[in-house]
Amino acid sequence: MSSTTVYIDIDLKELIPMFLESRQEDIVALRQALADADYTTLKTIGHTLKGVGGGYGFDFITDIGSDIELAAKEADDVHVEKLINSMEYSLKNLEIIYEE
Amino acid sequence: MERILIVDDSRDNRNLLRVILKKHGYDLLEAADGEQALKVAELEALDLILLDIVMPVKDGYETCEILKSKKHSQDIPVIFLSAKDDVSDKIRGLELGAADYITKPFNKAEVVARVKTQLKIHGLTRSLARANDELLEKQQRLEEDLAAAAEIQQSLIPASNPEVENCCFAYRFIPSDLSGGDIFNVHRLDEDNIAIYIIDVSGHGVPAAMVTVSVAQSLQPHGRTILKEYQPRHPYYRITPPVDVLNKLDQQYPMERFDKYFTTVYMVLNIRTGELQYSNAAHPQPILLRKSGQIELLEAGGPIIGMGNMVPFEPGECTMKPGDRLYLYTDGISEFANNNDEFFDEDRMYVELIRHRNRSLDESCEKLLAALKEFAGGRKAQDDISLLALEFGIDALEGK
Repeated sequence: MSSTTVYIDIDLKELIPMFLESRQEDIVALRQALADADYTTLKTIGHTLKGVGGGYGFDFITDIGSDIELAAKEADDVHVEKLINSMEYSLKNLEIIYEE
Repeated sequence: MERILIVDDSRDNRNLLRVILKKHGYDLLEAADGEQALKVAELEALDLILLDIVMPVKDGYETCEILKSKKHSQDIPVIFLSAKDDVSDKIRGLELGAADYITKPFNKAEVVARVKTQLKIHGLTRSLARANDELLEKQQRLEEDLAAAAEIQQSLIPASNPEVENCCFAYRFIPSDLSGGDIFNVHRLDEDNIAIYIIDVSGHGVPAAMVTVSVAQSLQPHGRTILKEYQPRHPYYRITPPVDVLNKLDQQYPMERFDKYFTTVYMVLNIRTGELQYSNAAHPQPILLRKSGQIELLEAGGPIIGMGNMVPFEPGECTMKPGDRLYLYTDGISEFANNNDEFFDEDRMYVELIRHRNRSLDESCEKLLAALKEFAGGRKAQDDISLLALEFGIDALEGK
């Protein structure tokens, strides 16, 4: 088991719990959309993840979001599921280092 | 404090931008979609809008279009902040009137730098617009003042041809700007004598017009005046000879007083005998057109007014006979330059005046100006145009 290390600006520290909570909600919503074959919602959430991740310092979220957006466009359910799992795993095994 | 509206459907993005920008002292407002953003823009004074593109209800493109179409929000700079990173998306955003486009995820320092740049441009644009408005207002006031000055100046020129027995008058006055430096007039001095003068003050605009007005005041025939001097015995006045009038003007208006000088011809005509006394301060020489068609120039005089009596003014005199005409004018006529930069010059004037000497005095003025207009070939006058004409004798009264 390996953990994902992220470096976050200390100014953003108070926002992080809310940010992580939102990502859990996203995972639930992504799974639901995948079950419903709702590719529009999958694309939208993917797009949001792409936009929001890197700004906070969670570059892997931006990467996964971007991939989900693309995979949803191609209706590639298997790949989308893999990406959701990967994000969930990384979030569970997160090491956050706050930087001054 | 500059006020920025953050428009993004993602709460995390709004939070992130708020934290970053708050640190730099901006006042921040938030909206979660385009509809909300438009409402805020209507109610609040904003200096900048950060606008996401992909949003529910109303997307960023449509929102930007509406913002730019409304007077209250069209000048607020909009920066698109979007995860849409195709060049075509950026171009579309900029074509809708956005000031800048930042792709998400963004670098914090970059966002701050771009926000600062746009706020600076916006601030400069606004102060430029304000300065421009102030200038326009000042210009408007100046033009109104100039128009008022021109009106005052015009009021000093005879409103109608002076009614003097044995004489007929005609004149034309065309100021080149709103107000210029020409003036002329005819005043009754007593039963037998009239004063005739024409003045051209250097320069244009308000200073020239004000000096003109002041000189015109000095040449009023009533009250304390330089045109008549008190005498202790009957008739208790003496008509000031033209040379002395010029000397007095020269004392009253030294060049250094108003940084202006002027040229003038002042003359006194005895309307019973036709005897004319005059002196000319560097003004274009009055033209005496004899009934026979012969031209005589009244050239006696001296330098411009304002030199401080450095060179004396010479007196001149002649006698007008019935049917003789006298034309006083300013160099706005003789030095009118056409498109080839040729002057209209005196010779052309003489030719016109001689050619039309059998027409009425007023018609002769009209013909002279018509010739000038033709010569100009559409070019605008560079100087005031003043022309004062007099015909002496009984014939004149019959309106020949």
